[in-house]
Amino acid sequence: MKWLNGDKMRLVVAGIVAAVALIGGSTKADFTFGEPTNLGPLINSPGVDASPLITPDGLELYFCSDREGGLGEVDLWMSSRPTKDDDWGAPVNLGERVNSPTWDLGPSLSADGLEMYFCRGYGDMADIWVTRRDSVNDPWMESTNLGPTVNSNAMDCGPCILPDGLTLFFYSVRLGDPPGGDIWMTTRATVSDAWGAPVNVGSPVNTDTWDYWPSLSAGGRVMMFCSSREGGQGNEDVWLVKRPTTCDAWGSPINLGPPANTEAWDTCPYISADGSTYFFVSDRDGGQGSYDLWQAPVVPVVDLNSDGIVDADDMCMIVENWGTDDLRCDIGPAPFGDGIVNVEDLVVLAERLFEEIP
Amino acid sequence: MKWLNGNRMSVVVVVIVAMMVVGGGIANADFTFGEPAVLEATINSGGNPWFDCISNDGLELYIEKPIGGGTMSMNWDFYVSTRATTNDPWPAPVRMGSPINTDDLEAFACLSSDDLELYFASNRPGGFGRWDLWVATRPTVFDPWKTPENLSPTINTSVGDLSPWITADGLELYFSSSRPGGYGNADIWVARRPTIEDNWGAPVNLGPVVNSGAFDTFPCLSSGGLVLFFSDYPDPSLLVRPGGLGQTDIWMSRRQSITDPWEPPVNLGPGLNSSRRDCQPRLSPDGDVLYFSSMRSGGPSGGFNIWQTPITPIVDFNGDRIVNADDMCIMVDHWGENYPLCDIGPTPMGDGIVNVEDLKVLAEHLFEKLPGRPINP
Repeated sequence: MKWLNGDKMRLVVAGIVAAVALIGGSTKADFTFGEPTNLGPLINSPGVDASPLITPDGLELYFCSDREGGLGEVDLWMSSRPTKDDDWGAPVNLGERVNSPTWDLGPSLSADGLEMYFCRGYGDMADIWVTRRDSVNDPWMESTNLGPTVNSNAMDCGPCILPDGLTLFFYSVRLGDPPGGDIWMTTRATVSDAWGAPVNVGSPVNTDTWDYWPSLSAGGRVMMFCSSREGGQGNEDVWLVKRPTTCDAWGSPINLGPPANTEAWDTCPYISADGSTYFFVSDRDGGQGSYDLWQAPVVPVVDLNSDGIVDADDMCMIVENWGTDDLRCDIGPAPFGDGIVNVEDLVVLAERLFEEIP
Repeated sequence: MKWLNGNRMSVVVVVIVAMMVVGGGIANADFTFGEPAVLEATINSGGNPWFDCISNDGLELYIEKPIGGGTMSMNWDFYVSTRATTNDPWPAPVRMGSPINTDDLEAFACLSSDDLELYFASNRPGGFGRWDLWVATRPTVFDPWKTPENLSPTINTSVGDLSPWITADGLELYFSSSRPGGYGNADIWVARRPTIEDNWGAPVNLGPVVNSGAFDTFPCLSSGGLVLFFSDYPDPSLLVRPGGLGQTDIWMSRRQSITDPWEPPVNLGPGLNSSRRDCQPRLSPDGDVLYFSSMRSGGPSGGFNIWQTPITPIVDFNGDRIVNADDMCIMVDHWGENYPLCDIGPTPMGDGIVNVEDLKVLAEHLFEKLPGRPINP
């Protein structure tokens, strides 16, 4: 079973703010992570809590859990909060139209919040399913299997739908493939068309180890995923890969490094729509038991000239590179940028204006 | 009937400070109006359309028209044009159905900033006499409007209460009313509430600096709250504010901060007003366009047509005729201050503080070259 488990590692991790070099060949970091915190005992149970998803308004948290009160094995649950400053409320089971007596996990919501893709597992098999609702206030309707064009007769899981609704990433272990999961994608011409035959994302994203749980930025230019490849911090780690545009090939994956990754299992990456918070799953110490949901603040690097203060000089660097794809200045929307130096980058910088960087 | 035929009143001489500050000098955050242009015939059709509002998501455009075509019609209804994306052209507006429109008068609609509340005036049954203010709500922008509710006798009176304008924060409702306690004909009033969950407090008159003995109506505030546009009511039987271009005109008042008093209104002048009836000024959600209704010639519809004029902030702070990093540095030097020169966002006229809103407006104009000679060569 390769949903989440593996041998549990126990290691104390001392992760505080550490720069992550995310651009190959660049000495500049795009962003750093603050210290991760556990989402606490109301969200995390002693058992498995995994595959987080935050709605764009930041007010709903979907995840999977094997806690008591479900329909069996792992179910999808949802917690909400009145504002982003409030604590998450008690999780609610999504009910029998979505959940089954087997494994239900890995939710991904369409941009309008009316379609939810997720994974349903049976033994060592899994398929991608979808459920719909008429409005965000309506209940989810009966789930349907995505069908044999997308789903194989082995394991297909970890769906991630892009905001345009036309591209679906997922991971799969197909019969005849080498052992280990790979990341695949399928597309459709319009949201009313059927999904096409899946395509393997290929090297250097996929390796002969496990590469899974894809999580893409809204523009599809950045993908975070989980991998057991060499070069990480130990066990499964989260890696990040970029491409200049969605028509280009993926660059070389970069390990997110500590404190996002530890010698424990670190997986299921998800960055909130406002770019401020990195959610992930880990069985590191300090949790409620087994796999837990964790979060860490995302801190963009805005001292572009590294002189220790965010000021007009940094702003001038953005102006000098206006309209280009200068990676150092492309800091907005946080944290991945959008491939062009424009007002989005000024907005991110302005939030931190006059901050002194130690 | 749509015309307000208020009691004629004796002429009150009001001294107007008619100096046009718009576009003059660079001592304050300023802006210029472009050449007014008439909206396309898909919007200006059917006789006497008046502009109401554009939704904040930019996908709905509301207008009002008299059924039967003439302004004397006893049945004005709202029409809405809906487009899929902000890049699409506006299709022909469709007449709204029940429960928004009735066989009576519906006019002067405006939307809350979340597009989920529609404020308007109507003389439909269930009110407190003549025009009353009503509000309809919808759970999401994809849902239909629910049955409108009367804003209660706290707001509405037995005389005409009309032309509501809800502020961006949802905490102030400007409108015009002929209730006692004003300065003649109708005046602009404002009601406030502590939070959007609270009830409206008793309306307060905007005072004799803004209000005159004429029919002062159609208030519209910039989202930063520092600029108030309004006009007279274009009823031929009503007194118009002295100092204008002949018939009904559009006026503007400013204030230095949202706690300062309104300054004397200025007539927007012949660049924007005509010698015919000009009324109902309404800002676009981003503050870049001023819409208004006018009887001036040149439109496809008979009678009134809807016109628009672009609003362009003056971003070249140092007067070197190019918008560049030097201007941005001036903005950063005054970051966090109430520094009017750099307070250009939200358009027009900012919000009393130099912050990222101003930076966004500057970025839209970055590298623009302006005609003329640098002030400080």
